[in-house]
Amino acid sequence: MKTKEGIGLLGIIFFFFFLRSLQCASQSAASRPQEIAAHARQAQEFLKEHRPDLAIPEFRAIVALDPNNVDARGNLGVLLFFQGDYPAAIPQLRAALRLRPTLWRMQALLGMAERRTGSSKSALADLEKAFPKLREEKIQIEAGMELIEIHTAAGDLDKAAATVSALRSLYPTNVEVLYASYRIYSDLAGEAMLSLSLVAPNSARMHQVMAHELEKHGDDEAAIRNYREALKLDPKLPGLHFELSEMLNASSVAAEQQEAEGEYKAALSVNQFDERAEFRLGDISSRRGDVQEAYAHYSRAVQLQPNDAEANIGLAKVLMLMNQPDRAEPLLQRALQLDPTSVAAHFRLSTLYRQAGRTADAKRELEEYQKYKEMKEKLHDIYHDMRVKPAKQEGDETDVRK
Amino acid sequence: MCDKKKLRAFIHLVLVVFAFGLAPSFSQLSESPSLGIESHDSKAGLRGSEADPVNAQQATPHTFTQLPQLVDITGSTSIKFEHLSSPEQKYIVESMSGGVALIDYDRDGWPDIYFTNAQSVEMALAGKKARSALYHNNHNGTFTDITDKAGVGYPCWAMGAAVGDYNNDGWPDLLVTCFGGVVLYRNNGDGTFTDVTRQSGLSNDSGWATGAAFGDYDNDGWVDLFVSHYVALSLSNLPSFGSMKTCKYHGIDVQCGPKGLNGSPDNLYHNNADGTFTDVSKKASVDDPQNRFGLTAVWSDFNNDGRLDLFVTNDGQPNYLYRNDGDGRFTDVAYLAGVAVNQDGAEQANMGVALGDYQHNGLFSLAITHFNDEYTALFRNDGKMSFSDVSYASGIAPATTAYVGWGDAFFDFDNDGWPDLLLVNGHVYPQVDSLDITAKYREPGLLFLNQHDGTFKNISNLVGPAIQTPQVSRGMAVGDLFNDGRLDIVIENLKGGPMILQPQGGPTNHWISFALEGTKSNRLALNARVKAIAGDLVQTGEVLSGGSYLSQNDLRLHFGLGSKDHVDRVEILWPDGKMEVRSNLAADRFYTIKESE
Repeated sequence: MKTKEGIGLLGIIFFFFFLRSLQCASQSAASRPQEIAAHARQAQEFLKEHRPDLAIPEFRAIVALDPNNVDARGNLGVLLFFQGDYPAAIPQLRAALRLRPTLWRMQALLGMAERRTGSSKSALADLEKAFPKLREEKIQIEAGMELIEIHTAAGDLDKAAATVSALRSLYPTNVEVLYASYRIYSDLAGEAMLSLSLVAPNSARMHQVMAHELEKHGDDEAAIRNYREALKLDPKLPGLHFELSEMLNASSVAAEQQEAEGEYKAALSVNQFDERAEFRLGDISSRRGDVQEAYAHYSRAVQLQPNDAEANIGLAKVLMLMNQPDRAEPLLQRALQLDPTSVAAHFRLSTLYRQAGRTADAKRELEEYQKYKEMKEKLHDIYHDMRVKPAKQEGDETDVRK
Repeated sequence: MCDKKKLRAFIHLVLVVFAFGLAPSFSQLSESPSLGIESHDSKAGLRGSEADPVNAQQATPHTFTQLPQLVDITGSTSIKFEHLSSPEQKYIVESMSGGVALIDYDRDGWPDIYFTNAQSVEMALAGKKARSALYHNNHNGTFTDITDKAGVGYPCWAMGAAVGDYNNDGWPDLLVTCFGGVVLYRNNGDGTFTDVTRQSGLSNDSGWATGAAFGDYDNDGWVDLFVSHYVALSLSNLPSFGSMKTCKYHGIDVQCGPKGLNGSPDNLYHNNADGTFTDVSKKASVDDPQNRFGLTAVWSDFNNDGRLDLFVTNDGQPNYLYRNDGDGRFTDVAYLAGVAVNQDGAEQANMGVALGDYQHNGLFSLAITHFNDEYTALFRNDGKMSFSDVSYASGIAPATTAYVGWGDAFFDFDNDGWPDLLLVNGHVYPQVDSLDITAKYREPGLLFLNQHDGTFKNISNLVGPAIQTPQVSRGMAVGDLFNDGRLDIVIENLKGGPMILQPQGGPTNHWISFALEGTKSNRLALNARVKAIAGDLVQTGEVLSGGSYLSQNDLRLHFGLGSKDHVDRVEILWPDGKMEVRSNLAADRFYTIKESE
């Protein structure tokens, strides 16, 4: 996960840290022997000339003259780290930390250096201690990635997941973090599936897992078979009816489509608070043109889960059909608070505003609709080009004509 | 004084009257009508009231016990036409043709029929052609194939047709769209046509032309021509069947496209009033720079500002609604008007288009047919260039989602005075029959009865077996083929013969029909509007070129009148903006009205 670019950026960060430290060293030079001040000035000159190889001996000289000089220790450790001389960097970084224990970035670097020299235990301890205290993005991500690699290597996926979760909440668009997240959760899913197949190979849950996997690979027929098998074993297993009905609902086979409605209803009979089943029943009623029934289902879905953007949109749609735009508008606005990228909500709102003569508002919503639609289409094209079935997304369709 | 004027006008009215059971013949009673019995200096009477889009007329409850039955009378018409098609339809160009045109080419007052035909790729590569056919109406329920005499049998790899009088000589001309441009046939007035494509300047149109519509967008009295184009396809480089991900349907191999292929730009040709056209597409900003997959096109003044606007469907992509800005330029306002995409902002297949004032408010709404799993979209015209997708609210959507729709039309099936909606269906992939899915290659048609309250009822299974017979239908045209006061339906099927459906039985409602002739306006009076007022029944119709799916309806305007035995007042809004009025016209008659000089 680590890249040369990452190291380079880290180097820049430490370079600024280093310069600041040098300024401190210069300020204190008046109370130090002239020799230390001269070495410090010389070191600064070399660094300005981008000659860390020449600055290192100057810092060594300062440390020899003043072993408790925390700045010299720290800067020497950093320079040695970025020179790739980890064995030499470690004692300098440790000494700096001993002198000033709150140097969290130093501690993160120490952990990384220790990992590179095979001291995983020390590395883990230093990185775990430093990681929550770090505040700068680059070092935080770098340290987190090191931690994740250590946890993953040790087979401790839960701890790796906790670390990546922390990183995702801080940096949700970082490519490396997203990839690490994908890998860890995939590995966790695989591990759980393996464990389940060992402890309960013939269970309803195992069939449910198999159904998920088969669906992912596009074998819908086999997936439906496994859902049915799971239901035979445990008809009241939470979520099972809903998942089967989702597959049936998306099927092109007429008999399966017709069966979907019954399965959604079965899902509700198992769990009367199954908001998604209510929502889907609203969709089915709406497609059938049964406005009153659709209204009842969508209303209940919103009642059960007011934070479901789709349910809010569903109810708004049926209210628009019932010619009640005043009630539909706040639902669409709520949907957009929950999901600002909802193409359908922007478009519906644009329609409402246009019909109300609010032209400027209608245009604004139309622009938002077009922006997010374009974005989602690009995303769809990426998946399409990579020949991968995308995660469920708005308006997701697979056939050529669609 | 006023009554005298009305009487004089009535005498001068160009009119032929005939009742049921009589052998009708159209003739012009007056060559120089001195009209203007009643002047009307405002267009508002005909344009409809945008401020009150909701129809104020009393809705009449409908009973379904006495519906006419749609009877397949093809066998008795002597029409033997068969559209060619390859069994597997391996290429998209083999599945998109089949437009049909009603054209009274000999001006005898009886609609004749022109069926377009298209060869398969295999035939084309072997140098073989497909024969289109013109059938003359014999006035006795039969037709005679006069294609060879007329010289319109082999225009091209034909897709569809539209009618317009491009040279204003009074004889309707025929425009055929082709895989490879267009062919313009000039009607010589003697039962023959001459291919004038090259001399008219239209031979540069070389793309895959689909929809075409004549309309006088600049109000100079000469009809201009819009041609939409579909996919940029070459016979020498056809995408192989099932070769890409975009050539799969439910996992099986099918023809490729349109998705995954490149589209072609559209063209607007300005009529130079000398038998030639000039391509003004770019200048007018209707050239489709995004190369969308254009299909059907229709002209109409959607916002009632006196200028013709243009609607163009695009397969799987946003439609265009070009607002005529009045200076030879247009602006696409489809998104702002709410007709680019469906109610959730999703593009649909956009095959055929029907225009109709189904609410009796003087505003023309759009019904657009789509692919299966979508729905036929009814965009209600709310006025001020704003439409609402009322497909579900009107009751149209649920029944249409199972089928791939093509030709469609608003027409008064039972003459009750309210436009009903008919659409024909048929899948594009023959291979769909090998799948265990709802969709089938052959699909039945659908007929929706206007409920007089903004909604429709699916009566497909109440009007006889003919419409329920699964077909691979494409083009469809509506007109009173037998001049009996009932609108018949001509359906061109991609596979096999066409179907002529005739309404039989049901209530004996009254009707009235108008044939218009422009003088200052274009001769066929394209886009003239007629408002027929009979008591509380107020209907508006418009003379349209093109529409449905690459097809042409009868140019006469037919209005059912229910129990009304006369029309109190008729307002004719000519394309040049002039309004003329007739009063107290008897029902069950055909009227020809010539624009006053």
